[in-house]
Amino acid sequence: MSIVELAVFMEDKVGRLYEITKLLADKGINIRGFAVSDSGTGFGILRVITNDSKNTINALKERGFVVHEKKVLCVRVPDEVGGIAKTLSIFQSHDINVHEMYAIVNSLIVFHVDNIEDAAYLLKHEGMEVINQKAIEQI
Amino acid sequence: MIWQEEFECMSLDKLRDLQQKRLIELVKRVWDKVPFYKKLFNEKGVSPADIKSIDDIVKLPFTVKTDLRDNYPFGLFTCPVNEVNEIHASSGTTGKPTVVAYTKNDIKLWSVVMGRSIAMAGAQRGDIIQNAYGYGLFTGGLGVHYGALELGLPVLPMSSGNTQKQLQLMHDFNTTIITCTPSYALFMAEEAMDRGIDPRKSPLRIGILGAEPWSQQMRDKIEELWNITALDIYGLSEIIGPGVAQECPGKDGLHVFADHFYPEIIDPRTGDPVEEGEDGELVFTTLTKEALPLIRYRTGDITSITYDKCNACGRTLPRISKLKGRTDDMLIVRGINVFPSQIESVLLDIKGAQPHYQLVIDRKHSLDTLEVQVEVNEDIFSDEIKKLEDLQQHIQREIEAVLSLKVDVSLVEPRSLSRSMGKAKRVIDNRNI
Repeated sequence: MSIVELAVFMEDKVGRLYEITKLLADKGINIRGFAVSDSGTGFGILRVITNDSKNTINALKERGFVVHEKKVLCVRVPDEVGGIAKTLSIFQSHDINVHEMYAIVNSLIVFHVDNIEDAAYLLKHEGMEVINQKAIEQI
Repeated sequence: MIWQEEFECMSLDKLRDLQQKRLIELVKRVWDKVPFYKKLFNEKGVSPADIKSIDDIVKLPFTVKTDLRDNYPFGLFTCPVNEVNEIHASSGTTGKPTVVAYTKNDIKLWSVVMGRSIAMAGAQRGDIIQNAYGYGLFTGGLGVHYGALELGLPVLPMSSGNTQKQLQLMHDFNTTIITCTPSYALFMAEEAMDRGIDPRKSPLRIGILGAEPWSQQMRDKIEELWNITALDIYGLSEIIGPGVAQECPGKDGLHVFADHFYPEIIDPRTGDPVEEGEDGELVFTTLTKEALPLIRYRTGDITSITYDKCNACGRTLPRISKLKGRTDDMLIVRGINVFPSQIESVLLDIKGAQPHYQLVIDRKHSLDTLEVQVEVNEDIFSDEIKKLEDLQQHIQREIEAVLSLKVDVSLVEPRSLSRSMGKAKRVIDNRNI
């Protein structure tokens, strides 16, 4: 159980994030969440979760961007004290390394882990809500 | 000072006679000793018997840089490698260096022509030379060094870089002649000013600057900043290194030491000689070099030539104009030859996919900078910053290893590099030269 994350290569330049978000807005695509990583050497990566990953890819590629599609784990984390720590404790106790994480809409958190299916199973076993692609397109 | 007046001021008739005698001997020598030349002459249907006067030189075939590379490392030598006295090598276009060699007599020749150059620039007894050309496989440092020894002038073998020490010793030792690239001369002046030193108050009086193209404006700036006479020196390793041609203080062209290096100017498209004074490709035949003589070697440099006697210094040696460009895509960055194809081959080795790239050359704080912009395409894109940074560093290391030159590698978006007529514009040279 996973959702699609799109990673876009970006030069570290004025207006780049605006250009991409405006492009998606014009295509009627809703951005559900995003994270930006910066290399410090003139480029960065924008990770974006949208309600329509196929059209997002098409729109970006049409404009000449390089886009990488990746499956990631998405979990609803209770908006309360210790909510995130509780989720991470499950990963930690099963020796699952989190490469990246960021929050998106509706108290959802995206995780990069090596084995998504195993991680999803564990979380569900602990009573947590794991989100699939269909859900992310419809919320 | 004219170091060898009998050669530098000889009548054109006498010069022609000397060139002719030397050419005839040279052609026999390479025919006998270098299988490459015998084959090349045969292909052109010419043999030593056809060369009876200096004008017959046009019957001979051209040689090009690729010939040196194809016969790497010692295939064009006239003698076994253990009989030469010194070997130099510059970075090559395919990773293979261009190898040049000198016998003991060649080193003597190099010393003499470099000695003439330094003298022509105005050196006198009492001068001290600060040599800031790179020592090592690059011919600049040792060439100037030998010339200084030949003249009997003190020389500081500084090599390039270490600017603080350059400035300190210049001041403490009262050096009067600086030899380096023009961009380094500017850089040193700016460094001096940053440290609160007025370069105009330095003991320097002459700069012998070369190994890269530079303009009249740059000369004006260097002369103004340092309060010196800045003169152009020309040379290339294949012919001898520095000391092929030199400006006198008249600054009206560079005097070619034509008794040793026979110059021709040709139309680069047809190979035919152009009229005196017209622009074309500079071609040299090394009339006296022993270890690695070259016949009608195409330098790729665009210039013109005049045989008029120099009004300023009285030398009769022909003069070439300051270089006007290149026939190929070679760039000279900090005195180092850079071909875009070298960078192409590095990129091709990375994941087998050759991304688009662009070279941006600039002059920052008077030093040439080379930025290699590489387009990130599907093949090389990773969604991990770390992997992209590794790629960036990998490309940088590989290019630096091939070019022996520090470069900056930037990863850029695919659409960001300008293309015209579907073909990428490979080089943007922002230097004002």
